[in-house]
Amino acid sequence: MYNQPQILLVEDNHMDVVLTLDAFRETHLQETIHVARNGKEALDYVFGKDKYSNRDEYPMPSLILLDLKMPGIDGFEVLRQIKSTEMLKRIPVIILTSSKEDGDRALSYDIGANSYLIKPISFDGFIEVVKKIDDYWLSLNINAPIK
Amino acid sequence: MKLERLYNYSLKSTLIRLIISISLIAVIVGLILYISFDMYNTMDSQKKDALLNAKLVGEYSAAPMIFGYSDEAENILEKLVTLPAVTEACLYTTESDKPFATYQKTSEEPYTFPAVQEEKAVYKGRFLYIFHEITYEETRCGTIFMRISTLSLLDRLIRNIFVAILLLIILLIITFIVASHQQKVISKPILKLTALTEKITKNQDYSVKMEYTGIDEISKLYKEISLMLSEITLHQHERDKAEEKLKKLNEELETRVNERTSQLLAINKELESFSYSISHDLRAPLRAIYGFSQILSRRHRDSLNEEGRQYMDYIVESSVRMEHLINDLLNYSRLGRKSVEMRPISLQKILDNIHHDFSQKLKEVGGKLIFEGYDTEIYGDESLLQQIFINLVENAITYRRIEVPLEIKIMCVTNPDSYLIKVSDNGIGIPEEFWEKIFNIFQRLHSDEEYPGTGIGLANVKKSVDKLNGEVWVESVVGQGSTFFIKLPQPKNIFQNV
Repeated sequence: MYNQPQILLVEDNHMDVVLTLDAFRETHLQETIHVARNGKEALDYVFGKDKYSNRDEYPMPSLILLDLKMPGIDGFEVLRQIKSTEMLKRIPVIILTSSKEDGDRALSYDIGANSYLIKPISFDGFIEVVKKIDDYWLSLNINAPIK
Repeated sequence: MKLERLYNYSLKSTLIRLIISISLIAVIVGLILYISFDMYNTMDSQKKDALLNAKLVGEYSAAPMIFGYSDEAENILEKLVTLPAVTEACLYTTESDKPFATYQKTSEEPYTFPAVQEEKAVYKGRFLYIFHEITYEETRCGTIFMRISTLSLLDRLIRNIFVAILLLIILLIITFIVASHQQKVISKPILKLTALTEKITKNQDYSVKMEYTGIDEISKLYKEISLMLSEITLHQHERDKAEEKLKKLNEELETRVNERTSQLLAINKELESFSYSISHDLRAPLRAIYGFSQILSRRHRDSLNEEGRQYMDYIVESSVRMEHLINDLLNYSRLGRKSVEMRPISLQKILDNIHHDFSQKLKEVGGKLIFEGYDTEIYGDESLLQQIFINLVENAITYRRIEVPLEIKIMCVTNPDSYLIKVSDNGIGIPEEFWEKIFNIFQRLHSDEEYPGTGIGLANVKKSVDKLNGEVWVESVVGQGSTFFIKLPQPKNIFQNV
């Protein structure tokens, strides 16, 4: 189980969650996807609060897919907290959003995003993105050792 | 010349000189006349006195002369010593031209007595000569001659002239003193006027009070200038008032313009954020529609009948169109909010990117992209310029004519103060009545079935060009093609520094 890459998907839109999960299923990849429905859940997950303290069931992710526009704690805040926490800052965070805005892009990279992807509009697009994430971030790219 | 020289002196000294010279001339003329008259009178009375003396001496000498007693006659002549002016005298008898008896005051210079002459009294040289006929009891018995010195006359003349000069000097002093005081009557108001006008010109203050009394010309001048000044002040006041009014109006106008501008800006901003959020919020459900319909048509196509499959395809197609629309809208609103970064940019680099982006699409439709004069460096914002070319090329591809191979030509001409970029195609063309309208957002000339499009592309071009402070327009021949012109300002100083 620990050999399998663990992905944390932070996404408030249910449809997008379903589409992303379906795309991962469609590509028959080995990753385990954990879903956080909002910013608070995402932070609880990475900091191991409450039920997430059980790391057997909710292991530390090796990659985070993060939506930016979320009610309450938004993607920027989640990213800021992850990148300013010694224990978490080496986990690659990929922004997955529908915003192409200059400001959003600049701020994301400024506070430490590792990649910035535009949410595809079609299912084909989702499949392509998922494949490329797997190819690059989970296969080709060598991550820093996790503390 | 003389007038000019006069102007070199002050009014004061001119007036003094004038008064003195006039009075001096008058006095000198008067004195000359007086002295001449006095001399004439003195000479006349001397002549009369001399004649009277000659007559008296003659009467005394008549008897000795008749009787030929010359010694007696000379004794009588000796009495003339009491008249010092008489220097010589003599008596002639009727028988001879030669003197009968002579008298000389001093014997230092012997005097040659003239021959007898008839009755006369004349001034000659420094002497008065008198010849007087002596009659005794109606009988002429001889002539008496006297030579009289005029030294006393000369003395009198010298004395007169001396007194006159003295008088002139005293008069000169008195006239100078009086003139110095009296000239003020004329010069003071004029000098005051000069000082006043100088002050007015210097301070530009026309509200100076001019005091004037009297009926003379200077008072009149004061009055006229005073009137003129009040007129000027009045005009100035009116002008100031008008200026004030204008200024106020200007300020009002400015405030109104500012208000309106901020209103427009607010509306614009609202519109932009509206289109931004619409595009964003529309994306999520669209993704669901598109994504799930794709999954359905991929995994469950076989369980649908022909109609179901067709409808599924319609959903997918419409989703693609909606995606385009949202993308264009987002682009449009992003352009509105974008900050402009002007710098020199290589046109070649931008056009190479365009060529690369469209190479696949151009291959598909069998078209080509030609560049002319694009090795220029132009001044602008890179992403805005990119937007302009992307939309224009996309437009040319969309509205191409099927019957001819598409040819898009991009040209850049550098003018002294601007760049002119021309993007021409050999497409379907645009009727003239739409040459302006096509730059409005959502303005479409064709149905989606004929030519797919969102009606935002050219609005994006217009917005980008506006942001670069440029101009965009189109010229076209229907059925032959269109040319889009983009004129961008050229900031000279930037390139002079390069």
